[in-house]
Amino acid sequence: MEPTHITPNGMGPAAGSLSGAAGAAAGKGQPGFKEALQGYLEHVDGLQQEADKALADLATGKMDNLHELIVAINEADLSFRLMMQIRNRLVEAYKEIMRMQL
Amino acid sequence: MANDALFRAMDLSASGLQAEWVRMQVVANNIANAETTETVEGGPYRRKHVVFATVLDGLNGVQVRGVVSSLSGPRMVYDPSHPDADEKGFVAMPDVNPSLEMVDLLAASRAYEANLTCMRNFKLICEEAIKLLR
Repeated sequence: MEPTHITPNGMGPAAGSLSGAAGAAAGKGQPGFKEALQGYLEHVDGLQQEADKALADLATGKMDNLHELIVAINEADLSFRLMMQIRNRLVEAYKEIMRMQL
Repeated sequence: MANDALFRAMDLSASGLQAEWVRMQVVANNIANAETTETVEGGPYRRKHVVFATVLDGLNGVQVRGVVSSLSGPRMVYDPSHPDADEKGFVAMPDVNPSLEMVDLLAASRAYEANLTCMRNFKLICEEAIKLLR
């Protein structure tokens, strides 16, 4: 058993490309900040759709338990909140730059 | 289920919930069949056990490996008027002890609650961590 298995891999692509954003700015083939954000957005969207599907499955009787729905909704909720906080920070940083006196 | 390592702890708790869910169903089936003397395979109903197993190695949660019949023999009850009584007047009744089943049910529901608490706490710390971004 390796506890080190628990790494925030869900953020892996996003976090990895965030550090590579500087490289993309330099014109390299690495994914830039936009791709990183878009990738994470799509990930969050996928989780939301999964939660929607779980809810529909429960309502139509395809799912025979409650916890799958609970997990799907919680995962969608948490990753959406994380995404919102990242967006807020992004907008804040943008405003900060726009306020800069030239 | 989402194959997302970020929320692995939640998936692990969910596997525990699923296992206890099945266990509760098995207990309910045992209690429902506590007086069943006729089954498809012949003879009285036999008490069912649920067998849990880990999923592969490492942190992958629990799975229900199977539902197996109890190995203990039937309980013989003297009741000559029963249609399933043998020539001596004994009826083979299931080896289900309702009080034991109730204890098992309590244990299963407590274990379910424990998994729910795990999940709730994990969600709470996730929310707290996300709040740090504000």
